[in-house]
Amino acid sequence: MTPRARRDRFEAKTRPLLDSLFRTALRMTRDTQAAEDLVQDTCLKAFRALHRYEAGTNYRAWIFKIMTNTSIDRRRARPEPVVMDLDELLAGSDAAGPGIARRGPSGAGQGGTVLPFPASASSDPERDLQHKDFRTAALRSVERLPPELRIVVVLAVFEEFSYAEIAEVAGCPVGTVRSRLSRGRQILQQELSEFARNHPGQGPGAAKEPNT
Amino acid sequence: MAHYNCSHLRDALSAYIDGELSAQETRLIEGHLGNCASCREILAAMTATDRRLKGLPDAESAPDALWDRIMTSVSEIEPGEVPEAPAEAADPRRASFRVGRRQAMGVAAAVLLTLGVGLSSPYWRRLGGKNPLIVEPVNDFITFKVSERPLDMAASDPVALKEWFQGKVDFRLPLKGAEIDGYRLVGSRLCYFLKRRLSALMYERTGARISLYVMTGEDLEIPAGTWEPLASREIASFAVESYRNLIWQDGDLVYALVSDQPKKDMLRFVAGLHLSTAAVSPAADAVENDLT
Repeated sequence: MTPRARRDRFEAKTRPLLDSLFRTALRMTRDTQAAEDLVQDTCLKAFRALHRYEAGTNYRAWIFKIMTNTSIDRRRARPEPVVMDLDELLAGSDAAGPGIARRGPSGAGQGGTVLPFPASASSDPERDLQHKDFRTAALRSVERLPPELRIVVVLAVFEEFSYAEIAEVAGCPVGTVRSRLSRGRQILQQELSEFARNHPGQGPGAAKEPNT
Repeated sequence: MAHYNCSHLRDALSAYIDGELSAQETRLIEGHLGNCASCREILAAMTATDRRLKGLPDAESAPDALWDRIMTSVSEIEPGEVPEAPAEAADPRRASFRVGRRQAMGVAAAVLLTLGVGLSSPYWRRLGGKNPLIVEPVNDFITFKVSERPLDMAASDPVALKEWFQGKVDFRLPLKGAEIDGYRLVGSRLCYFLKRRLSALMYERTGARISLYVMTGEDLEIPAGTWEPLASREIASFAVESYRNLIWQDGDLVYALVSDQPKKDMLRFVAGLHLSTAAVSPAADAVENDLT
């Protein structure tokens, strides 16, 4: 395969996914520049590894897996502050108020407290919810989910990946995808309902809890 | 089924929304939902949240320059630096994804794969890779079709669609009618290819679809057309895969019309499109003035 043919093949496969990769990167990094860097890195890695991609298998899952791994490597290098504790969330401890931001180095392997992201991205969710429109508030809520839940929610809800694809991307069993997604949805539902209560009349079809 | 502890059904309900339950689980859940008001409420709230999340305007396209930057870095990689990629051959026995209810995008990926092969096919070589205006709208149409994704904006009201595109593309949609030659406008998408943002408008007539791409013409090589009496204008026509792409220019804008419908139907559509542009309803005009 000539270098030109390889580039053409890469372009034909990757370019249709660019917006989807970028949107996902944006949710994961919460910063436009960081998202662009992540997508560019991912694409270069995919291009270099194109010989390892098995023809006939799912290219989308393959390249998103590269992006997820790249993003994890970056987080290890520059840990973000923990805003929700995954273990606690997965334990379903409603009493702690799953929407409430927790600070401090309590997440596994996230001991560092470097602040690589703009303060607004991870600051007081209550203030965010009160001061921004529905769209911003909802996206911020998604971005405050712990990365392990966030990637599952973003891929399932926004990018409409199947659970099997997400399992491939996230490197976990389908059952885990299922429970993380359900947990993520529950948190978002609570936050959006809260937003609707504080902003009556804002947002598409105010987020009322049914019959409450 | 009162013995269910309903809080444990959340995961299943969430998977139910996504169509990710097996047939048996689906039957069980639906049976339970029939008897359990509390689960019906959970499901309703979950569905509403999902709808609101999915409805967040999806205007976050990758920045225009990003792809160019990527391809530039890719070109800078020395050929010796990367191992040879095996020849593309879609061998179904090696496919690790089976096609299920929600695997539409798997199918899309498979079609993209086919298109990937297509790009090195004799057809593409004949084009010399020169004019993506002929191929890219068809690629987009096929990708959209197999992905079974919803339209960005499902609306048959041209005024609402124009309003939606306002600020998303840097031209005004010259669009007035909700129906052209029996094809009903069903909605629109914002696309990015050919290094620009495009409006894609979808029309349907008894299951048949026509997609109209509208874009600005800068840096595009418009293929020379031939006079088409049915449409009363010069149009270039190309068969791509099993689709047809009609390309023409009108004022500052370039149009590509993609469909698997007969060419004469597509030409009638073009005629109707430009006819209805002339027939301005006062209400639509008023809104247009407000927007500009």
